[in-house]
Amino acid sequence: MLFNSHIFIFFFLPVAFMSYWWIKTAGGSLPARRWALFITFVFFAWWHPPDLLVLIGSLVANYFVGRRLLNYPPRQAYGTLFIGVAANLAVLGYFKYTRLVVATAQWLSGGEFIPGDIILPLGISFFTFQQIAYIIDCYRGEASRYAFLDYCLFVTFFPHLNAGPIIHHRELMEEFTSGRRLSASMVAMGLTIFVIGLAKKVLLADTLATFASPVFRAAQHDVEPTLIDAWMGSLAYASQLYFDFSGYSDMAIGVGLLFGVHLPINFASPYKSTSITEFWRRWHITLSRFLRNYLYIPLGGNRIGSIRTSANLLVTMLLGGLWHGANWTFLAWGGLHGLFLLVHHRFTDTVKGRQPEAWLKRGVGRILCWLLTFACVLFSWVLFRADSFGAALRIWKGMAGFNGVAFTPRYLALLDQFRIDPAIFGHPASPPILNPTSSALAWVFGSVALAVFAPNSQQIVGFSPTNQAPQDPMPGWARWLRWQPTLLWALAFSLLGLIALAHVTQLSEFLYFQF
Amino acid sequence: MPPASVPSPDRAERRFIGGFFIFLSLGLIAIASLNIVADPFRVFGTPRWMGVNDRTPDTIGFDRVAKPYQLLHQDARSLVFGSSTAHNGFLALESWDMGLPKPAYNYALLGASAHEIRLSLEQALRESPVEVVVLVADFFAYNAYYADNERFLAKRLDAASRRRWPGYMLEDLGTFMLGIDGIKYSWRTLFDSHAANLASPSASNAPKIASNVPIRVHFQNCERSYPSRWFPPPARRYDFVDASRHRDTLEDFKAMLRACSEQGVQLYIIIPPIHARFNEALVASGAWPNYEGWKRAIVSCADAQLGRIAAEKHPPRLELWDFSLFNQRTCESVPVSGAPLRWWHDSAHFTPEFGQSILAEVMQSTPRKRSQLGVRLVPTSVELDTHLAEVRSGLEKFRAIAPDEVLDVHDALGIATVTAQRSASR
Repeated sequence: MLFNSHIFIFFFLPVAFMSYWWIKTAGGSLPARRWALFITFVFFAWWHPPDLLVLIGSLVANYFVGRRLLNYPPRQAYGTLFIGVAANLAVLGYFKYTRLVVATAQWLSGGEFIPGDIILPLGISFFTFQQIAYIIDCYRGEASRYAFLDYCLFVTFFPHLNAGPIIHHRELMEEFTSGRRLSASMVAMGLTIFVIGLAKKVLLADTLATFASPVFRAAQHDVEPTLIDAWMGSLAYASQLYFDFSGYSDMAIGVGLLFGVHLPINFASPYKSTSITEFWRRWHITLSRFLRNYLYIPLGGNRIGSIRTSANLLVTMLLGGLWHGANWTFLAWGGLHGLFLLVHHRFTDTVKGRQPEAWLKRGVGRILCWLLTFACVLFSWVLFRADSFGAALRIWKGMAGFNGVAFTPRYLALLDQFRIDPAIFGHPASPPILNPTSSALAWVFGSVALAVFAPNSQQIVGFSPTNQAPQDPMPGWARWLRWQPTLLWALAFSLLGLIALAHVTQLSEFLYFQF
Repeated sequence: MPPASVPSPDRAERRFIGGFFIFLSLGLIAIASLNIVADPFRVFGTPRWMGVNDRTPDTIGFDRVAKPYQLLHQDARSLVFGSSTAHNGFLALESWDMGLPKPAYNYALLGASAHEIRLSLEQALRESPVEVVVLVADFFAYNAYYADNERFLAKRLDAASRRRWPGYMLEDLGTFMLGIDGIKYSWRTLFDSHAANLASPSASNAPKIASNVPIRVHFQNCERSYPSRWFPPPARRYDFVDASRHRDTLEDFKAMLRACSEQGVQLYIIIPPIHARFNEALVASGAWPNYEGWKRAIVSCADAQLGRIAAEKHPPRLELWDFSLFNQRTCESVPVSGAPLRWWHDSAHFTPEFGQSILAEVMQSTPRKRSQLGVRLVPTSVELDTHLAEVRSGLEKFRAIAPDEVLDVHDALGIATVTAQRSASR
């Protein structure tokens, strides 16, 4: 079940919310937690019920591995930990990467293997990582002994089950066991953040997809996108991804608040970053935290010399990349970010304490840093979205101008008006894919501007993060956007909610080539 | 002394929540009422009132979502299945009098694969008192590598049923009642019913040719775009079986034959006419052997099914017709520019006027009356090899009488031809 579905919004959420608080008020915390787990299982099983077996199997196995590790003194039962982590990765690997392995074997050998139908259980990457973190903490002696019910709830609680944030066990256990009562301020804030997230997802991200997808689809089908298409497609995708993922995280945080639970912030205006290191502090914050604490640091972090540090960083980013999806392009995307980080670290070390460092933090220097960071991120998103290296290469070529510029008749007429010969822009390798009307341009560039300049959800609502996410002050010009629990804001958010709800399942008209 | 009343600490938040839900609920009720009354997709079965909701706009792009529900309000006794060819060619089917039992309903879906058509047909047989089915079989739809449209959902066809409550997929119900497209089209239904493009359903649903595109360029665009359907990426192959997706299009075809026979439904299968230029495009892109192979395969399946039901006491009619011949209509000259053609929207899509003649030929055929436009291949009226050879010789004649159009097709296929040849050589 998706948060941006009518069934969730009109049926599941109201029933879950009312029943949970009724049980908590009438029967106390324990029955309410049991009920929360039950509704979580219903939420999980809605799409594909057999997946529940995978989830329950994973919960039981990890819980007992954790308990066994806690029976030993810290850092003693390495064998148990190894088996636990390996088993988790094997399950994740089977469901998520079998097709990739088969396709690669097929490509290498030229043979034809047909993998069986493997349906990826919902949120498997998230619940697997959370449990790996838990058993590693048990091994380190940094975890407590939790009741099975609480453990299951921490791993699966439905607001974060689908798409994160990746929760640390300590973050959630206290939230559940606290005697927190239904509070109007949390509900009001939760509703507001949920509506913001829903609007980001269905109004912005889904619309931007209509500009990004045709370009990437065409590139996959050997079309060489020309300059305007390649830039519009990649910019639209950069915004789409941000609004989609951060919108979903906002919805999760909003739903969490409705149940009296503070979930960690996952996005803090990443496109405002002026360095790639800062980008990773603001983008998918809980994944970065996981990778740092459970991969980078155990590998040695930055404690064993510069070469090992670089290697550790690269390995962490490569695996982080592959976690995002079963395609070698994700691995390459992670590797590319690893390289960006290495270059940035080396550069920072070089200029530290010198004149350029101060220059880069202000004015033009700061703008240049932002521009370079955004360009690197944008460049790498092409690899993230493309279905193959070939498709990514075609789009990069288009962005660099190697595929020429294809103008729609409207722009050709405009050029003609100014007596400019379109041939000076080079011969286009393909006809235009997108129609860059003023509305299309407004969508693409307006959304980038929103991501770069507008305050984020937590700034608007005044929501303090429970994790170490960066907290920016509300910009002066945007103070009027600061949410207040007034009737005027209620009207504004109900209108936004209404518009978003109308877009929840847009039929997306089937445009059959020319008619 | 009574204590002074202390305002609740979260009074403002409570007011916010109350206001939010009141405004939201009022808005939702208003939108749902608008969409149900106007019913632009004709999925609720709302009665039509003159001047209120009697003129619905063109919703062709939403057919895959709406038609399974529209069907439930039709009680159709005759149904047409197929893709855009059937959709456009038999557009005003409901109003034609060709001997089809009434009411008749056009259930064709743009760009439908054989698998989509099979599932739609099975739903229709479950839900409607069907007596006659006209199945327009398109060559591209039987390529196992040609995927179902992403908007097509098999579970929608299960949910769209009179026997199941609520008779809708919940997502679709939400979409029809609260979706932005519903609002947009409801608005047009209620307030824009006099606009020119809503004058009559048949006119509004006809393929639209951009006014600034010369007619021959329009034909070329069609010929250029089709090879990617005959050899869809990434496989760029034509085959009836794609094991990796468990897809067997001939199995789909046989299932349709069986389903109709089992329910005693008369089935007329039509290989639709295509413009002679399109035949040339098939040859030039390397798809001709596949095209002939496909014809042989479906004729063989239909023959086998006919053999199976022949022993029954009252076997339902099963006929397969080929209209992809060379005659005056299929060789209608395509001017460089000018008015649209009489028989063709483009190389692959015939006009409803042509469609009417086809239905008349099929429905009113007698053993003594020889068809002018098509050939009945099942039950056999002509040797298949002879028939295919005649089609080939027809193409030679077309090349001789219209060399400029042949060059035009080759010009349009410049890139596609290379692609097809390259893939064939792989």
